[in-house]
Amino acid sequence: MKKLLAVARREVIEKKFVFAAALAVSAIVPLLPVLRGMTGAGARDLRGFLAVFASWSFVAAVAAALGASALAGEIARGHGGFYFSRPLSSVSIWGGKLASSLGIALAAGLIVAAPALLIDRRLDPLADLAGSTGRGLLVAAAAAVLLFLASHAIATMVRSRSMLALGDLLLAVAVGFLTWDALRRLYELWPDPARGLWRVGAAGAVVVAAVLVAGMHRGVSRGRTDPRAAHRGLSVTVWSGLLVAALVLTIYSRWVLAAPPSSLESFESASPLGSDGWVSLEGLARGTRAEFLYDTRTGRSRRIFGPPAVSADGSTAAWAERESGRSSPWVVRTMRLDRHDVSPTETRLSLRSPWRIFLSDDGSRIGSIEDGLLSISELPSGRSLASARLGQASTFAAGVFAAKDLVRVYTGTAVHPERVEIFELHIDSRDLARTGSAASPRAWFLGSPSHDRFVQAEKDPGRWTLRDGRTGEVIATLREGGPLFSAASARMSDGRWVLLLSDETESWLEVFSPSGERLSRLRIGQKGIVLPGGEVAQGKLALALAPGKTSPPGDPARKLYVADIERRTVERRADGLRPIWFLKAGGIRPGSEATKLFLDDSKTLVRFDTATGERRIVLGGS
Amino acid sequence: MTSSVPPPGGPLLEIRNLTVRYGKATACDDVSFQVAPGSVYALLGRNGAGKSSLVRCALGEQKADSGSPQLFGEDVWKHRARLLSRVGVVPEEPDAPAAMTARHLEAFCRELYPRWDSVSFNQRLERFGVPQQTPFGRLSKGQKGQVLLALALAPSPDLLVLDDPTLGLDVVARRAFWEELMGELADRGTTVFLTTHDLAAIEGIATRVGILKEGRLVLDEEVETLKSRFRKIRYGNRITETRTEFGTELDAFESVRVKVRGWGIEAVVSNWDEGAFETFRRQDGVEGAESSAMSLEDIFFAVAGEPRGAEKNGGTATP
Repeated sequence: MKKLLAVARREVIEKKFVFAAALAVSAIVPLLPVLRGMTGAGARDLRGFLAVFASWSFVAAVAAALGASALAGEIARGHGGFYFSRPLSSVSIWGGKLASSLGIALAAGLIVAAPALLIDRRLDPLADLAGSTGRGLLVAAAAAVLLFLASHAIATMVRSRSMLALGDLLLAVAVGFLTWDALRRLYELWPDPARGLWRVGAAGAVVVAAVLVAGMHRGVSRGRTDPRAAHRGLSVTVWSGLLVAALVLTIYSRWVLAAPPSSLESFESASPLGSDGWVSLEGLARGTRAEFLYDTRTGRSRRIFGPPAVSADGSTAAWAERESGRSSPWVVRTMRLDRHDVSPTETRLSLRSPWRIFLSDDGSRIGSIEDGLLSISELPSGRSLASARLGQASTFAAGVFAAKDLVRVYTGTAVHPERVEIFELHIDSRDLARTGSAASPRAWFLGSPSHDRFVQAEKDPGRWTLRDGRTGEVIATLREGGPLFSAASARMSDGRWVLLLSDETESWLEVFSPSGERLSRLRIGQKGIVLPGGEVAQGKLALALAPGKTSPPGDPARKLYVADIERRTVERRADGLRPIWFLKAGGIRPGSEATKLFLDDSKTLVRFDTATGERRIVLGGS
Repeated sequence: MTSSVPPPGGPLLEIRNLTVRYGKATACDDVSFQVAPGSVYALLGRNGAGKSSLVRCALGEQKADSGSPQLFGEDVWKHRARLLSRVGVVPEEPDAPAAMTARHLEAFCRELYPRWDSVSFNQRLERFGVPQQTPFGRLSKGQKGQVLLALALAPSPDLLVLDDPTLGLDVVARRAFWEELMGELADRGTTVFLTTHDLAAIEGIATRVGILKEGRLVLDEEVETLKSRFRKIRYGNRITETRTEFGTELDAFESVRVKVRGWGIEAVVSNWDEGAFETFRRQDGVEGAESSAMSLEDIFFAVAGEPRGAEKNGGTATP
């Protein structure tokens, strides 16, 4: 240690001119606002910017210069012998130079930033970037350390004038490619990509720094005054370390992407895909957002990387996912849910966004809406059948196949956000016509299987209407009145509509005929969030009531009821269960497998027969 | 830290089957020799003979491809830092940091060695007339060498390693350097291992020499023995009735080098013997034969002056 300090001290003495230069630069930082006649916040902003810019530039320049010249330069010039011919261990020589060079660079940066820090007690640009001035300084220091190490390693490689440098280049490309390939998918699947990137970046920086430090130590201790041997020692350690790290990252990435549905930590959503037990599951799996098509009857599954659309007959699912990086287009894939093989079929369709796709009832056609352009194609060939421009780019758009050859689109525009425009495209004639408009819904609308009418929650609180699917005109007002604690809608297989409502005192459901006449009102219980489920038998609707908006998943206070529309009864069937997400699903057969699926907490998918009480865990749980 | 103690009477430096390669080129080829305590071993060789590579290996600065240099009986590659606390080194190139003054250098090196004689360091610089406050980079080449010698001698080393220390120095600086070294030898009897091209200067200093030729150690011998067995012979050669051809008159000697001159023949022999010479000079056709002692430089020239490819079997060069 004594000798290491001796080497470090000698370096500091030799490089003391850096401090003088830093002092000179530091004087400019507080002077410039004064010279420009600035005071107050303006002066503070300028000081902060100058201090951060000048100090970081200074640190970076000094770190890079010292990194490139320290030891590697001396050895290359044949001057390494001064140290190696003395009773100094390699650790003392290299460690002393490393520590002193880093100390000089960081101290010089602090000197430059000191006046602004003393005057303002903070550096706003750093605080804005990193959350706090202290954290910003830490990040800047870490970046300087990495820059120093990297420039030292590069200098060692270049100065040896060896063909090994070519190998270094190839290995750098290999490591870069492996890292990029591993991260490109993970980046999009992280719940918070910026945070994920920050974490991986920080971990990567630590790994790179550790590998560089180990490599440089090996280079110095093995190479000593021989620049090529030093290069060899450095390269062997650095590239084996980085390759191992890149391979570990690759394996980790593959492991994450290969997550089965059972690895879902929670179900953020679970929706039926047709009547026969296929569901789409979404949640966090191995730290990333994951979405699966999952057959609850057989356990077959397919991980998908884009939101799925399903045909009304439940035979076909389609989704779009990217081939490679963020800039690549979304390629549409389809999968038959009614066959044993769960391999997807890739279509020739590619999109810029995965969100606005919809399927015909039999799954033979797919529609997409992008940048105001409606396109209809045949599946699985991807052959274009028709396309039409809807006009202005839509802020939102939803499409349905009203018939096999007729597509209806509901679209909003930025110019008239209060309206939803309705268009129809005849596929055979390729005629596009505007057929009507409706007030924009507050939350969602629920269509009938034939898409001839829909129920929507109006922006006027508490108002629900039944509208014509083609013209958007109001057929009937289902409810008017003040705001509600909770409201949802459901549709029975016989065409009757159901509103599930709760105010501040109680919850109830109201039943309407297909044309909107009010038929009955059934009380459910106390106030709460009412969630509709499937039609567990003809005329019997499952629903869940949670006592409050903060009711946690698996809350035993959540009750599962079955409302018998015909007999006008509401019966409690279980505690702690809630239905999977039926709001967007249509055409589900009463009593089918899909209607028996519930979540008993956010981690367990359960098959529950409301008639017999038979309960079986399908996925998750213990 | 344990102090290494060489075996009693054992060599301070031992090079054993040392081979150093740079790609396909071999700098040192299976070299072995020893530096005994109290000796001054001069390793000689032409430029590129492999001397500096050997010195770097001997100091643990460079790893040999094979062979193991031993300092004080220990592997110098493994224990370099500890072993070098007993070694003073003057490198071929003045490699001290340019910005440091002699005073800074002394302050730095003083912390590294268990023994340090600041008084003698300062006295030496005073004798040399080296300014102590001038940065090393601004000193003359001679002054740089003197500072490095002072730094090498200050820790009172058991072994002094000098790698062509007077390379590029003028005559005055060279003499000052060697005189200082001789003073050290007279005072302390320090063991010295050196490489140099300044053969005249070391003639009175070196006790043993080794000659490296194209990476191979072709000679390793006590200086006195060497000088006693090498002689230069000059003679006239003529045809007589009984002698009709040349080339056999030197058969009694091992001829290292034979040159045909206008006046006759000049040969360097490596197994000089007074009796054999008397027999030689009486041979029919040999006229005016005379012998002369050789300087170390002459011997070096004879041994290492021709490329290896020019040698004849038995080490005799063709006239």
